[in-house]
Amino acid sequence: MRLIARFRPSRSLLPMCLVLVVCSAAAQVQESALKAAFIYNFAIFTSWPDHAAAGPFIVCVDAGTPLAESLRQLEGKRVDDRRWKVKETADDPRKTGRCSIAVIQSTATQQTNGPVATTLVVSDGGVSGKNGAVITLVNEGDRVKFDIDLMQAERTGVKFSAKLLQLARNVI
Amino acid sequence: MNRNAIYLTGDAGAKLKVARIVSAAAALAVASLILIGYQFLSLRESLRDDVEVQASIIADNIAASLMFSDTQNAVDMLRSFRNAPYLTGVAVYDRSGELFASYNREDSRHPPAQSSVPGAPLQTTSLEQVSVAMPVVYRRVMLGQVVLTASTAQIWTGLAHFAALLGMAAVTATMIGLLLIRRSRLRANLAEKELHYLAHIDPVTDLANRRASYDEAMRQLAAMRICGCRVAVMLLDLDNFKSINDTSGHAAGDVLLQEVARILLGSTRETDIVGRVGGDEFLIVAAPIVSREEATNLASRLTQALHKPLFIAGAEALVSASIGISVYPDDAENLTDLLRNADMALYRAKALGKNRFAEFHPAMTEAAQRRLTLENELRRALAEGHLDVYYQPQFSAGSRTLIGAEALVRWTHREHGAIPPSEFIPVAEESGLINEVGRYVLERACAAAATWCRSQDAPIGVSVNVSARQLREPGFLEDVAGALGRCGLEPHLLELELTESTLMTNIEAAITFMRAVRAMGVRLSIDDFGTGYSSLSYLQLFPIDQLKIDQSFVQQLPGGGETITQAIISLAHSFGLSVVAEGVEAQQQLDWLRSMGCDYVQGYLLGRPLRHADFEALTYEARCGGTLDALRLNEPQQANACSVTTPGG
Repeated sequence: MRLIARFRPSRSLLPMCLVLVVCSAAAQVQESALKAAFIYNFAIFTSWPDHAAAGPFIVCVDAGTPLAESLRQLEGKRVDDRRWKVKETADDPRKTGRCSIAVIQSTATQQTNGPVATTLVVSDGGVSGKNGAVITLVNEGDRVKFDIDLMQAERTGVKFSAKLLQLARNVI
Repeated sequence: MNRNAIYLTGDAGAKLKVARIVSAAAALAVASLILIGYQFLSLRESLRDDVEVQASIIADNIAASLMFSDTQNAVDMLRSFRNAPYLTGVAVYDRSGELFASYNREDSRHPPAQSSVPGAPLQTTSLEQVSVAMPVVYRRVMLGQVVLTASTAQIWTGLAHFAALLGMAAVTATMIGLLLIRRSRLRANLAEKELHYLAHIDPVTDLANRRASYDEAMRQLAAMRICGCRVAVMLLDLDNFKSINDTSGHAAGDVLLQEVARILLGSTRETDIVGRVGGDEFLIVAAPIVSREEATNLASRLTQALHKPLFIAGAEALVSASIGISVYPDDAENLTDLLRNADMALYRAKALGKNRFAEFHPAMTEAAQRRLTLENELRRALAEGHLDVYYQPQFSAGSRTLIGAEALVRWTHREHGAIPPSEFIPVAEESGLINEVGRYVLERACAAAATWCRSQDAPIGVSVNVSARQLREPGFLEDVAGALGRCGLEPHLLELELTESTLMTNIEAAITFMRAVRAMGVRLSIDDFGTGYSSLSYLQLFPIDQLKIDQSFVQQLPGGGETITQAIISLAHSFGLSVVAEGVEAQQQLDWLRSMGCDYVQGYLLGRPLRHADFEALTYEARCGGTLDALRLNEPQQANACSVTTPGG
């Protein structure tokens, strides 16, 4: 909750959140906001190959999901001087070109031809190592944790800060 | 052995020592405090540096945990700092100032408080702790703050050890310093003692020297003045020290002095002062004494103890001493007068024949005064020509022809009339006037003899007495040569008479002198033979012409003294010397001497001492077959004028 507030562009949203907490829909929003913050933090602790580290920082996500909404709320922030930009697609986000991060649902099908190079694929749920994502967000009780698949990371060419790896629940 | 040494002691020394130790300790304490203070500051500085480094490390590593809100991870990481024993607490605050994670030691419940200025690193230090606040920044984004507190307890423990070490070092240094001070103090004391010894102690006898003796005597006198006690001040002089020193050498003289010192210390009380105040002169101060009798008893004991043969340098030496006594307060009030009186008494004891003591008597002052007056008047008489020279004729014992005269000095005082030589000659000897008197007589005698009428075959000579003091006078030989030259007297007509004791005081010098005089052609005679040492071996050594038999032997004749007189005559003849007998007053004496073969005679029987003019007349009657008065008509008397050689004959 506090963390969310920290990453919000404005503190004026905080009272609204508190109101939303009491209803179940609000719980959903809170979780997605937390996950969006996590994704933003991943971007901070990850470095992309030089050729993919230019232009706006594009985050591709399934259109219409609460997470997409939360991610969009982070627009205006910067990742290494790159502007944070959310691109909502109806299609599989992994197939959208020029994405720095692609966020997929746990229900997304395993991609047969491997992940797109230089795109950090983050899966909201699912089993790490099997869902084809580099980072898998996991709900553990009321906390959000994440696993990292280094094999996948190797393929995409992104590198993680040791600090991030240290915080991961599992590193495979 | 030494009873007169004074050493410096006192309370002041001990006080000074304590003050020195206290000041040294204070200086060391101040130095230690400064060192400890500096040590504390520098240790705290380095602790703060350490804590700052730790804070940086935490700030760097806690960023991700803060971002992902992973308290567990943060706590895990903070816990790893438990190995740093000085850290009492670590706290991480997030950007809003809420406590995110903390780690506390068991003994400090509360996590370190957040700094009021979250954006900048901040250190606060106190005596008990060091606190460092460090902002957590990741990619220029301020995430929160790390606050570390460290206890200075360890520093204090270290400082306690350091202080203990310093204390031990200070104590050790003080001990070493004290030891060194003590040693140098001892050395200084030793030097002081040595200086004191050099300044106050006579190195030969270990007795107090002149100055120290007088100082001690002064102190003793002051003490006795308070108690109203009697004090005996004695001056002791060895009678024959000089001859022992001359004959046996200075080393033997030193041994003699040491022996005397030992005897004196052994015969006096522990509280009495014994000091050496001159070459062979000792001061004894006996205090307190009950009566004069006690003083004379002590003096008697001392002369007896000293009057015994001592073995010195392998030979036996007979020592004797004379003592002069004066008693406080009977004889004088102060030390100077007491010493002067004792000296007069000593003079008296010597005059009485040595190896005895004499008490001071007020009459001695008068005697001394008379001596002084006599000396001054003699000086004046000498200057004004009031001394006269008389000539006692000497005759050949067989033919009774005039062969010469003995020059005798006479003093007719303007007021007191004739003063006998026995009275003024000792005064002259003592004062040194004898040199001038002697020179005067020699000069006059030579001048007179030059005027006497004499025939070629039997010349008339003159004999002049020479004192020991004159012999020591370096210019005496020149005086003799000068007198002869000025008056034109042939050297063989002058005879110098020396007494045995004169010669014995310094035999080598005497022989040198005698040879020189003889080389000039002057005759030598030994006066008063038989009364002094009469060493036959020296008789052989001395280059002399004549012996003179003392009148004390002659006057016993006849019926006494024949043996010794005869012995002297035959002794002289066997050595090839002529003999003259003096003091012949009776015809029997003359007859006996003549029968024994005595060469020359002199005495009242044959002729009293005459004035120069009368003697000169005698020579004319005896030799030149005329009277002087006839000649005087043509020639003025020239006895005193040495410019004239001889008036002819």
